[in-house]
Amino acid sequence: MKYNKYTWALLATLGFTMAGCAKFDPIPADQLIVGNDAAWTETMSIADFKQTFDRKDSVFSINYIDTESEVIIKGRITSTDVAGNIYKYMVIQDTQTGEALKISVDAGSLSGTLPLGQVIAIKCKGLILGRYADMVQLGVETFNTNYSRVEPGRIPYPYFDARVQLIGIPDTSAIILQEITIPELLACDSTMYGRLVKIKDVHFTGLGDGGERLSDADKIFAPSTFNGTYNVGYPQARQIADADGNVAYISSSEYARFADIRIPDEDQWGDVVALVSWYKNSPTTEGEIQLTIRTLNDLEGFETGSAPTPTPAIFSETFLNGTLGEFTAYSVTGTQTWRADNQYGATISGYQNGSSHANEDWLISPAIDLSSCEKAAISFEHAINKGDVANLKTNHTLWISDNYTEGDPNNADWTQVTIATYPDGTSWNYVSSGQCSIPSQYLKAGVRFAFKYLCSDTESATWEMKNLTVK
Amino acid sequence: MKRFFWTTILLSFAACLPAVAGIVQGIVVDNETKTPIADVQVSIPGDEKTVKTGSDGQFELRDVTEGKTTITFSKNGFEPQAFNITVVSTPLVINTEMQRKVVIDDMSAEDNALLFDEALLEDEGAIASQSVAYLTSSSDDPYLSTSSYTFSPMRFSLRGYDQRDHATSINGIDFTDSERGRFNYSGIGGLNNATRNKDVINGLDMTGYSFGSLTGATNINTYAAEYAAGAHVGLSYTNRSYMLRGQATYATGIMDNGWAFTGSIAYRWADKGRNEGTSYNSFGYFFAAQKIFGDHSIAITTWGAPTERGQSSASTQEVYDYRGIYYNSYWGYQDGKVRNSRIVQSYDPTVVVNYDWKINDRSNLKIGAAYHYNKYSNSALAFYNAPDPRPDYYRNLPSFQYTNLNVNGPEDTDNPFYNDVNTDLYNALRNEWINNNTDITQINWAALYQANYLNNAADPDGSAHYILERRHNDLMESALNALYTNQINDKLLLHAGLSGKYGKGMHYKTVDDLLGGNQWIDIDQFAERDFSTNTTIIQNDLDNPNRAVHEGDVFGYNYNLHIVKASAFIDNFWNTRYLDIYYALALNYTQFQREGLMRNGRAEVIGEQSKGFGKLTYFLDPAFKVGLTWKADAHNRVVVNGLIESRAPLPSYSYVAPRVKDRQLPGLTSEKVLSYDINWMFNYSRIQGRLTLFQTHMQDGTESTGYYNDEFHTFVNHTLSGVDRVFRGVELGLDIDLIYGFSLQLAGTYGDYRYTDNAIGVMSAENGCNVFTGEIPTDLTESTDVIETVYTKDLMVSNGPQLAVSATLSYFHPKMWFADVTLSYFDKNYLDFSPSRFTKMNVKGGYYPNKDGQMQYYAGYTEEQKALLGTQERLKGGFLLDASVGKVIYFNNRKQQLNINLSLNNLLNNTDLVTGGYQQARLSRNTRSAVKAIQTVDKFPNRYYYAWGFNMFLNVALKF
Repeated sequence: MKYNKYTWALLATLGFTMAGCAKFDPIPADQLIVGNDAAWTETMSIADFKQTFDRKDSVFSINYIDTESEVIIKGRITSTDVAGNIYKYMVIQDTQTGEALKISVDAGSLSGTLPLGQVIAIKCKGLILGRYADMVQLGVETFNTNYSRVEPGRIPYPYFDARVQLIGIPDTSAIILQEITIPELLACDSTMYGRLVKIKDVHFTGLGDGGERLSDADKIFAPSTFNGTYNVGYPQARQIADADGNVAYISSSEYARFADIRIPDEDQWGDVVALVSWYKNSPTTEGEIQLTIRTLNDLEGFETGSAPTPTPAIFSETFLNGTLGEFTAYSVTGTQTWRADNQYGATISGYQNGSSHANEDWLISPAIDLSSCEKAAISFEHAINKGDVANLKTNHTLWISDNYTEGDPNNADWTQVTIATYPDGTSWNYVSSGQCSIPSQYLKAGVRFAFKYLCSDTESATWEMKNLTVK
Repeated sequence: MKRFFWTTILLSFAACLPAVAGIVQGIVVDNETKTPIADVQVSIPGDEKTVKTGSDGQFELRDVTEGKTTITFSKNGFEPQAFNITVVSTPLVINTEMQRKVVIDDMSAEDNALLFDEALLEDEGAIASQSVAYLTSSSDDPYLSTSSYTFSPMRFSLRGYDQRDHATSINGIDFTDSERGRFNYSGIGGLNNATRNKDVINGLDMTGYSFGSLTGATNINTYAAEYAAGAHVGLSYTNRSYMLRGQATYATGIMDNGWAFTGSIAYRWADKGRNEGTSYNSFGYFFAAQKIFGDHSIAITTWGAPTERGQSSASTQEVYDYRGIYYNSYWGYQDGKVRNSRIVQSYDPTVVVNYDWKINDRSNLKIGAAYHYNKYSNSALAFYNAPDPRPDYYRNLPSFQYTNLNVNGPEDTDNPFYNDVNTDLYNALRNEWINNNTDITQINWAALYQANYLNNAADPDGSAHYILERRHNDLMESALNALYTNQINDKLLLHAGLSGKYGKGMHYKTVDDLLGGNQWIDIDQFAERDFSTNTTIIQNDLDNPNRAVHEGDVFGYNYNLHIVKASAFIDNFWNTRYLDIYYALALNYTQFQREGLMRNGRAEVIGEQSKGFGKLTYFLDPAFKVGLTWKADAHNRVVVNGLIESRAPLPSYSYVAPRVKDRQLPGLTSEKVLSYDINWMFNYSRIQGRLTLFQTHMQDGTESTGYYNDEFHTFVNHTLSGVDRVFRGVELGLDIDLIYGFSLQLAGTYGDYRYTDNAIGVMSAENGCNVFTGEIPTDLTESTDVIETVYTKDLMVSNGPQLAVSATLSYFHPKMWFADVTLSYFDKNYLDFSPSRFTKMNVKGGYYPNKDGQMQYYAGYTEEQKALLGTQERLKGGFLLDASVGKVIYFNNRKQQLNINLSLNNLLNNTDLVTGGYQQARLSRNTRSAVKAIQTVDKFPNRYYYAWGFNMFLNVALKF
């Protein structure tokens, strides 16, 4: 057919070669794992390095490592940041002696490329050795704009990456773990700073910074340091003690993943593995030793603390099931009286048929027994509206008595209990009254408390309350 | 071949006509469609006589000197022709067929269109816009053809519209995708020659096969019988996204037995594209067959273009200053070879079947069916519990030494902390960048492998730290349509059409390369950081928690979007002597539904649905358009068009976080469009052109972005609704014939495309938490979203330059040489803004709850901060100078034709032209400040794409 010459021409012009899709073979592992023969040789030990370059003259200092020849140090990484308690720094230890050095690097999740147990060699020329709050670290010079001072700062990650060599594969079993007692820890010198230590047979005392008792809610590793504006960010101390009563502090950051986990109960005993840290931020203050745990696995033999059992209320009444419950309403003046409403709770108003009527009305609780309490408080939700705001606090009050039995409350002795929070008096919004503290002399049996409502012929408010508890 | 046959027959026929001396006449038709071509310049240079063909393609030259001479035919967009003729005393009839210009510059337009594609949508909320350049290139309209060739390097978009506003069809079947409203150029990548037969409609004009769209419509015609018979082979060399291109096409044309076949293959390749680290490898095939039997015809067409190519990044100015405008942060060396982390793989095999029935002389019925399955994916690095691998991560750059101290760089000399910057460290890092230490300036693949190998030793069952993941956005669609055309009488033409389409978008990601690691554990690492004890919220697939995935496994997210569209339209076209009127009515039904295939923990904890079929949403949208053409005289026409329609939101942009949950944008509603334009078309012998004024209002649109919010330390989805925009401007296209073969084309537009009102922004944390407290809400009926105004009023639409003008001087020599020089200027180009910078919190400030639930005051911008951080950047304008030269050589008595064309672009090597990019979403505040003051330092500067410097295209094509 006459098309033949055209099909041939077509084929002839098809001189294109198809490049195959480029698939990349993985770089062979042995090319990337540095053997001992290719490893950099250290020029001095970590101890000598600190001795040579550390300027011991101030708590925030920097010293340039700008020697003629290269300075190479080597160590094994003893820190991991997977739990977030350690952030943008790592600690290495001398593989023979365990002496440690902290290195600040500006990258989150450093442990991804610089894992726990990895031996590394660092070329230090061009970096600085300095002190931050009196603890030695390797970094770069930076300026702290909040405190206007020069201090060691984090090495930019690519700058550090060009100076570091990872040797072999990570070996966590080769990490030197130094057993130490708390007295030895507190008496140590700067050669201990940064080391990984193990303190045996300790327990959490339930005390925090400076020995203050922790409230139940604060018995977690690191509550928020939010001060109303921002997170201040200081690590928070949790006290541990040995059998002899010697104490030390484990400090954790609120950004740690275990920050909200409850600390072990006081009756739990175990071993603590931690990095020793030193903090002294001015020449005149006393420095303190802080223990930094890396993950919760550093607490060996402990179980995490149990959640607090919620203390049951001694007495409670919602007022929302259509009755005043065990309360009694006593009307001293005026025909209007306290009544219950399914939706609004216990309510009273002197306003009826288009005008106000003078009233004094009491809503009195049954007798309760507060003798088992160390302290007690009444709390409820209330709303006040339609009255004169000037009379808000005088016309709606709370009282307590230990000698009222029945009848006109004015015949008994009552002590006023301050209602902590009042609503603004101009809307139907309920607010919590807060904790209205019961004076300690009433922490006994047979006490009653009561709400007193007043109004006049010219003005009257409506007072509604619900969800009352005494704890 | 055929041409010659035709010409010879008529020559001999003409010899029998009665004697009238010195007249040459004839008809010029398009050799593909056989329709007459108007405005062809027909000359006899020897006599210095020139005429133009009329709208019927006919021409007549009188008083021509008898004897041997040459006659030439030329028109913008067509291959010029020349014949030797002998003029005798009897009228000489020369009829000829002209070939549309070989697609040299189509390829350049296509390149630029391909540069910015869907993959960019995944990045930091950048909404990539694509130009319709490729589609309008073969238009006769001087404005449209210029705007496609010349304006395309600047990502110019006609009238500033989004890509969904240009309707693209193939053989009458709508091919804009049902998810994003875009046309997949890469689906026909490289097959420009096979798909060059296009009808382009400008603006709101009537298309004749569909309702049409705002920016007009393009229909690609692949009926095998409409290709000129013959073979066409071309080879090109260029220094753009690819280096080498070859294609071969063979068409039988319509044969005696009623069959026609066309086949084409194309190949494009580069191991090194213009931007560093990019590569290109694309093969295309095309086959069309058609059988005409009597009044019926069945045509089948199939094509596909499997392609693999490397992408290029948008970088900050600092990085471009160190490394030049071709810098690309996505690649690095592996074992000495260039490896790009972002490789796109796409293949969109398509088959189209068309049945045409010519019912009678006045009416016909066309039924078409199409099916395609677009497999599109791109790879990207993912990391877990490891440092960010990006070389241009902001903390790794030299500028961080300044911005960390709140100093805005080396020029900020008045800053109180200026002298405290560690300039030694800054200079050391800067030198590494300038001297191109690729361990720092590009991805360090060896470090990624090393981290994984060490992790295999330390934690063999744990997740790898670095992998290459592949994000898939596949789309399968099947479409059916029917079009009935009836020329009811010689005044009235009717079209009526029905179409339906079912689309299934499939979105998932797979592990592309474990980079030496043993496995990757499928959880969300940000949720794990924030809620380490909550084993539910961190899961991507609750039915397979903590699954270890390997190469090829689907992980992370997996959902489908099922879309059904149906539409009906009818139009009437009245053709009278002085007036043409048309009006068209359409009704569009759109429904879509998400089908989640994984139960996502972050949806589960807040009670939202993730797995299974979600809410079915549907929209019924009417559209009406009308047009009036006043045929003032033989040379002038005035056309007025108007359109009013509502259109359903695009399914892809209708969900807050489709990878996690089935929740649609609040206030999702159809967008309303009102558009009108007035056009003056004039056609004189020496000058022809068009002047247009247009205005389009769009109301109630939606946009969605996602980014990491520094203030709340979490990834947020930020959607805008109630987006109102206006597009108005003027367009001018002129084609002027000068003397001696020179002609001048001018094209320009000046527009004002902006947002006319503020929008409502809804910000929600992707992990479902309350944005302010960072806690999982306990009361699931309460919304955790932050709903507030986003101040978009008077921000500009960022769809390319709003001012573009060009002037082209063309020259045609009868010896078949042609050359042109083009100077163009672009301005009023605005960078894509980030809605996060325009929220009420940042612009005006206000009270927002803090972690304790207390109201905290957040300050808005100061004047200085607004200028630095809270404005939309206007990009610098600039000039582009292009030139091209070409020659046609005929062999073997015009049986074969060789076209050589060299195109030189950006001769001035202007490397300052920013074509687009985006404003980064992140903004830092001083947490210690009582009012949480915004920090007056540009830590997250804008990211840009630059136009290439000098680049060229050499094309050699042989037709035989």
